[in-house]
Amino acid sequence: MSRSTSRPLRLVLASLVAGAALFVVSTPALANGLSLIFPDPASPNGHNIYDLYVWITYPAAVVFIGVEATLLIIIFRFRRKHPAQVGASWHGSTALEITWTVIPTLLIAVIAFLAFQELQRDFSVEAANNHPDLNVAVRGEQFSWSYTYDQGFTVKNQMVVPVGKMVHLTFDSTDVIHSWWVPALNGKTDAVPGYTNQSWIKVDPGVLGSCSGNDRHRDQATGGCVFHGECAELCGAGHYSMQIDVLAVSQQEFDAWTKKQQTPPATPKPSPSPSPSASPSAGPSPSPSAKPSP
Amino acid sequence: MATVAQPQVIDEAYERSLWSPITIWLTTTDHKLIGIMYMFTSFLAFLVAGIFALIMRVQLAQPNLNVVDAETYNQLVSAHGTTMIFFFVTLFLTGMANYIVPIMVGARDMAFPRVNALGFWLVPVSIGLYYSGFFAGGALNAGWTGYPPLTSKHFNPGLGVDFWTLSLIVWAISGIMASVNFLTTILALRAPGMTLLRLPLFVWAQISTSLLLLIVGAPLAGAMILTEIDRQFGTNFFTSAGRPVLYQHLFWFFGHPEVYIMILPGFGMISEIIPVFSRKRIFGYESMVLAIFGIVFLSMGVWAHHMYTVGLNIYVETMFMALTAAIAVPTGIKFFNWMATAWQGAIEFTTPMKFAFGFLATFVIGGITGVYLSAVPVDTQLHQSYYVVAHLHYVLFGGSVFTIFAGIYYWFPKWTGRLLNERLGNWNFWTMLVGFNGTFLIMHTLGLDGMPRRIATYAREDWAGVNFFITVMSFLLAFSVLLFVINVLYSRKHGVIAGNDPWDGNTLEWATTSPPEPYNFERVPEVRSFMPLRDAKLAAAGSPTASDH
Repeated sequence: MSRSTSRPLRLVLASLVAGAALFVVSTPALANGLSLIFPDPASPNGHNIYDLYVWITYPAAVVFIGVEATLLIIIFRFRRKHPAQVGASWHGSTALEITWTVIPTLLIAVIAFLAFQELQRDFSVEAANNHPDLNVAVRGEQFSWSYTYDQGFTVKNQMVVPVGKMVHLTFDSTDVIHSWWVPALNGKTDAVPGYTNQSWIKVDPGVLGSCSGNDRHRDQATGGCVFHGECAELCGAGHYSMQIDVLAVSQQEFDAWTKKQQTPPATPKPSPSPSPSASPSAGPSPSPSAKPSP
Repeated sequence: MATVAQPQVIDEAYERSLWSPITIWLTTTDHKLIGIMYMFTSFLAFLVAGIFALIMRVQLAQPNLNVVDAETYNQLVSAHGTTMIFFFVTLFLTGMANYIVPIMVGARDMAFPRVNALGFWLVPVSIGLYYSGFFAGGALNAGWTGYPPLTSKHFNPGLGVDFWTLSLIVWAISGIMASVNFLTTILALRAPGMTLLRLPLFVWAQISTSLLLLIVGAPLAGAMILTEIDRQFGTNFFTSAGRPVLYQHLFWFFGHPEVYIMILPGFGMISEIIPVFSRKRIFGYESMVLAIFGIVFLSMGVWAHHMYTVGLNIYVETMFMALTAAIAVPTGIKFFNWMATAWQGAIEFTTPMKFAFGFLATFVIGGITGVYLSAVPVDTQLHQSYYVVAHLHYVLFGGSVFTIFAGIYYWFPKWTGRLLNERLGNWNFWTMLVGFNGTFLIMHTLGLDGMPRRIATYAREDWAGVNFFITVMSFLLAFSVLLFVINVLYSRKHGVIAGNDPWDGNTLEWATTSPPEPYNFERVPEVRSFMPLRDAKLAAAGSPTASDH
């Protein structure tokens, strides 16, 4: 019976090819300036999630490198040298088994504890309602978002918030389930018909000075920073087009914008949303906004 | 063990089983032929769903493409997921177990051969129902998870959703039949002397899988029935006026254990393959069994980790997070036991062993990203993004599919009497390893960077390079599958004749002919350990038995 046993040399060559392939894998990302981790966070909860991700990466990297290195050692050291060779006869070790049960358990416990702390800090109902400066009701519908402000007006397509202010967000939907996601600001919150979810953001004032990244662009009219996101729950044929823009501006710009929104339009024609800045979205053309809020 | 020794040339049994007239296939209750039909049918499903994936990758290769429109894309997404999960991985593993488990426990057939045949023949019904949607105005378009209210009549008036619910109800019934049959076979038809702690680990894995499917198959069928009642009779279980999130609880109470239904048999195969090719006894047999059931137990308490963004109470989320992360512990035990088995072994890297090590090297990535995803705050970022797409493919491809290929290369000689070609197998392995990692490793960064899953197209130019690269690599992955198909077609006629025991195996399937006679064994062997064939060989060589339990 002929079995073509691959020689170690061939394996080394194959590993080199695989390594080269992995290197090639990573280059398009770097060439494009695609970040290898989240976009720069621009809200305290976004920061905390980012930090938790980095914390988990330390033990994860150790486990990954440890396992892959052990596999390589096995592959190179314990090959059959002659046809009659058999392996060692041991097949158990209580000490080893306890070790690799207890250490992962401890690692997992620490990760879960850190994650629980972050949950309490940023994800509780109390955190979302912690002296908000502004309340915005986010409503998803096939295939756009609307934002209803404290002051009673509703805008579509682009949410505008003041930097440095605690913005309490509520989410619901008029039709199917959507999910509101702006990676730079916070994780996702689902907009589900029938009940209301809560979350919050507090955009770093620093973004007025520095607004660079593939997920954001400067709004020339207001000097603010537009953060980009997309609906994250498949919601129908137009799901891909359900883009999200959050414009963070100074308090003065925000007040001016608010005043403009509250001024009843002179004509029955609805006024378009405040910032005409073209977002790089593939979405359908913006539908007319400023429907009277329900 | 008189049946062990005679080397077997290709004989009439082989010709009979592969070239029997169509009526034999249509009427058989032989577990081996049914196993082959399961595998053949589900592999066709794999090829179809793979082609769907390639179409999606072409659509995503560059921003703003319109190779298929958004509605078609959504149908492809849904069909790819449904087909791979329900019709390929689960059913292919059912087929492998159908063939191997009765022989491994020394039985002559499954406990209920006619139920076995009925269970199989429901499969083409189930697949046919789902695919009818494509010819009736459009198949399911709401993802394989089919969350309402998107699947309600109001938002989805076509027949695709109805075909999907009916298909999965039939699928669940078929799966429950198979599970009852496996459990009964393993508990009632074992060879003399085969106590539970002398079961091969692949058989233990099949017990765990069958238990899980028995428990969670009904909730899946229930969710589908309620969805269909909502659609046909205007009730409001899951509609906007009802509780859409209730569906998610029911679906994921099935859906997460389903992940383990798809991976535990693979774990079992790896536990058979590594000791054989390392010529070393499995490390920590008892802890392997315990770890399987640790995973079974925990897997039923983790479903809501798919629902961290729906607005559950944070203390409820914490419980699900703790249980989810805890699964890493028994999975880790299995992992370390496999490595300890190979350590100081005398390893021969045949194709099955290459796939086994490919599984170890890639599945660990899926395990690690699983820990990230278990952490609720991090998950709210990664959920429903390409990070999750990458993660689930590391688990289901790097995990399930690599183990399936390891198992095929391992057992193909038993099924057909001929070995698969090693040279083609080597190319198959390396193109798959590189193609798979090339496709899915970099995909994590797309998710981290904000690309949601299931979008028909995207506008971001900075995502273009990576997406193009992924598309190219996905064709390398497809090429590796093509090599495999060529290998099967070639080796079935021209492969090296295997004989009874080409790998120097440990378990009973290698003690009989390749392929086995319809009755499997001339004499049912007596068993004194979980490696009965190893015992027989050692006894023949005059040594004491290797292991007594």
